[in-house]
Amino acid sequence: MMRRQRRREQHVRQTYNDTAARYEQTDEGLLEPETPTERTHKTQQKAIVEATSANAAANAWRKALPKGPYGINVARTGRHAVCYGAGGRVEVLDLHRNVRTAEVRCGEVCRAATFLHDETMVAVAQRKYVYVYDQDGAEVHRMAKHLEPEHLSYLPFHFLLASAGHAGWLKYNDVSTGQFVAEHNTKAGAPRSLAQNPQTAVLCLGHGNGVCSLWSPAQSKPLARLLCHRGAVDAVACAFDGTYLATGGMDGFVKVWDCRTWRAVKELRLSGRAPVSLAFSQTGRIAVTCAKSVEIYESAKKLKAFQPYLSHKLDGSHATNSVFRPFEDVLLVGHALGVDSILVPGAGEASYDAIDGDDPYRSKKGRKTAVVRGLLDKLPIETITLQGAGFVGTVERDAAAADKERRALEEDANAALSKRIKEKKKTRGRSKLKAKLKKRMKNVVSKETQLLKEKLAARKKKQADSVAVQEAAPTTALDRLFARSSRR
Amino acid sequence: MKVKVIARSAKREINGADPKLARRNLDPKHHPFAQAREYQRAVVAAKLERMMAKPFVCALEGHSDALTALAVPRRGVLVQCVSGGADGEVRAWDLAARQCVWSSGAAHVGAVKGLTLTRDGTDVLSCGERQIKRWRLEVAQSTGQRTQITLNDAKPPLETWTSSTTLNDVDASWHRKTAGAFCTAGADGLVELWDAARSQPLRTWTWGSDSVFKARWNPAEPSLLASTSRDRAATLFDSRAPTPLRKVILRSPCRALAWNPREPTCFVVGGEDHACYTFDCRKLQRPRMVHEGHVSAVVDVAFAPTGKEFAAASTDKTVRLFPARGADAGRSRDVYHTSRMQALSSVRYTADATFVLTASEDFNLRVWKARASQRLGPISRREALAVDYRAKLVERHAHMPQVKRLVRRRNLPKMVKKMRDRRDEDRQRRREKLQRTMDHSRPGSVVPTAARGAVVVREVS
Repeated sequence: MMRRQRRREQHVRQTYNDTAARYEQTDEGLLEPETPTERTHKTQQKAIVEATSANAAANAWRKALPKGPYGINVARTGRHAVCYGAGGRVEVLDLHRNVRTAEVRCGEVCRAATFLHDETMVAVAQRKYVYVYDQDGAEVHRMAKHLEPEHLSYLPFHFLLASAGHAGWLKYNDVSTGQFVAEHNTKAGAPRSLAQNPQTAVLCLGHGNGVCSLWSPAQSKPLARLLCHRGAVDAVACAFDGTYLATGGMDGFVKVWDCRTWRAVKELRLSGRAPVSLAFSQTGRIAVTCAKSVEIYESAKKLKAFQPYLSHKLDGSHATNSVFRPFEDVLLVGHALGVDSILVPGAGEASYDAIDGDDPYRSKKGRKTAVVRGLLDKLPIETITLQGAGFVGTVERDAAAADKERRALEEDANAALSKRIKEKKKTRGRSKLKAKLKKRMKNVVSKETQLLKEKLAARKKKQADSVAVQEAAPTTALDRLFARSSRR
Repeated sequence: MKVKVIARSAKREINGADPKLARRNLDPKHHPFAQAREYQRAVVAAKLERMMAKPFVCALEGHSDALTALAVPRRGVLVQCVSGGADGEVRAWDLAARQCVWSSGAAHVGAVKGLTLTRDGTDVLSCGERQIKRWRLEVAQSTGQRTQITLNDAKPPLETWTSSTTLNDVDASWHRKTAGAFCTAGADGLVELWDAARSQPLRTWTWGSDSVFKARWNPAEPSLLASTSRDRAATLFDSRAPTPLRKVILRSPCRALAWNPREPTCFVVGGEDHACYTFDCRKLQRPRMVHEGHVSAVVDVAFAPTGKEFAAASTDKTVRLFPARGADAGRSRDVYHTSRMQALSSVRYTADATFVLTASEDFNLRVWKARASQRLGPISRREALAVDYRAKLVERHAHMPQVKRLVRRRNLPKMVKKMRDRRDEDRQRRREKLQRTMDHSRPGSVVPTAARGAVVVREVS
């Protein structure tokens, strides 16, 4: 018996060790002061590059491109990036091999670009329409319904491409079927910024009037509206784990909002500058991009003026936007003269998931398998809600009970607000005969009244008992198993 | 300043990584919509399962009259099956080769009423009119890849017994101790117990004078038998006792009877009221389960050798597969029909529980898969894993409306659908009437009866 138990324990330990070894991956990056006087933000890129291996140092570069300014976006695997210039040049870069895989010269302004389900397709918001290009840079599609697009976002689990246009329309297109899914009028003019919550696929639009609105394709009105700034909301970003929303306004503030309570949890005042772009990394670092520099803060909670985690000057160029590369300690900055790739230790997730996730090193076959799997698991648009798709797999509550509870809460809340109305003291009908007789009999104790009183008391007691029993019985999972008629 | 930056080498990640040890990161934030995607996958799995559902394997033709009886060996050769026709012919089939390997010619005057194989699977017992005949099946191991059946052609039966009454059914004993014994069910309420070595029955039971449809040995208890008869009774017998043990009178007569081979205290009867009832022979007052779905009389039931499900054949031209017990046992798991299949007379599972055989009035023996969407033949490990995963997904989300609808939905013949709808309507009407009666009566004076409660009229010992 003992031997068997020992063997079983050994087996469990062995399995655990094997599993641990399997999950043991690359170490996370870090940047730590060794003396109390050292400050991380004083560290220059040069120093970081010198302190790291050649492999990592290869990720620090500047790519000079003509006809700027350039914006940049990155694929979900972190391997490919697309940079798009106002001069009409779009380039797809393979960042592992450091080569350009496709180039498009469309001859008109490109305002945004995003990869679709994988790196083989890229959507570009051009002067009038959204165009889709393939891996060779050939135009495969023109989305004529997406007029004058300003921002683009791709919802990977729903296969939806969203564009926010100049006239204030937010439009969704299913890229797997080509169907036009939804168009919402934001009624707030040209949107200034767009971001996606990676966990819930809700889109956050920053508007010129200081409002940030949250959208789902399933609902024609915004899910929520936040008054964030006293000026246009020029930058929005959502944390990778979906808990925080960061907004940057023309008023020179960066605010971090808690996505559960929708309250600002942190504010950062930028002296004399305004953020042009915000970005969250997988580990929670925030990059605040202003015109001439990029400041990276350690986390949403550590957003403190003059105390960034790292900062990077752009040597006279004007920044357009910045994005973190997933699974790498790298920030890509698009600016007037091209694209910068800088090292931000600790920004990337060290371990990736090669089975169900974005494997940066996947093969061609792996990529194709991922597309098929993704299409089979394509989610309906109804799963895009403010709470996420967490409702799937939960027990649906009895709608009537939930409604009752809500009303009770509302009444409680209103009761405190409403004034108590003083009842009038009325003495009308005092002189009526019936009333007089009644008054006379009021204190007479007869046998009948005594019996009636006892009966009444007994009934009240019984009622109270039954109520107590009903209240004591808790609602259980078994309640659903009984027929509605027997529940009475 | 301490500096460390993620540095991966593509060479190591791609070539050095063991493909079996794929990198995983189980942090939920790296798997957004995980549960929603799993649910979606379950819906797709349920759809795929229905798309792959092609239960019909083949129809074996050869009989020149309606099929009336079927028998499969309880052990031994899987590919073998014996069928009897209304013209008195008995045929043996090789299922793997899909051909008839032997025919008895006119074995009986009138229809073959009962067929059974002896315990060792070598002999066939057939009954028709007043006679029981024994035929020898000679099973030879062929030199090829599979077993072949060869029979001694056109030889007369080894033995013939004559009963005092016309016979409806014959069943050989399951047990080593009583290996030569068999029982017959006859008209005039006679159940007879025979021994191979004797020309007269060992024992004769009567309890009532109505025709007995079926008599079956218990698979575990060597001396226990059960029968069903026209007088709505299901009766239990002890082969050692001269009188029957006890019987239960049902609401309507039952034509079909089968013992559960893995839970031998239980037997299923199929009634002319379109339903099947599982009884525990220890407690006959109330059936354990009511299995509903057919819209016409159930004429035969057969258990899978696993004891987990049974097939019920009906004159509504369909065969239904029911789980033996559990929350879903009240309704059929699947229903098989083709436009060419006429009223069924008999049904059997093969000994590996993979196929269901049906005998019907259209002269054909049909072979069906027990799992409609199962792929026959060898499948790769990867596919097997995928099939398992999909099955598990469907099981896990079976209660969700979308999945439930997909899993349950079956295309039925128009006639069956119409009759089912009519039955449902009728029930709904009765339910409403009862509810109204209850609402307008003194509380407690009208009590609804459960479906199970109304089945048994009385139990007699």
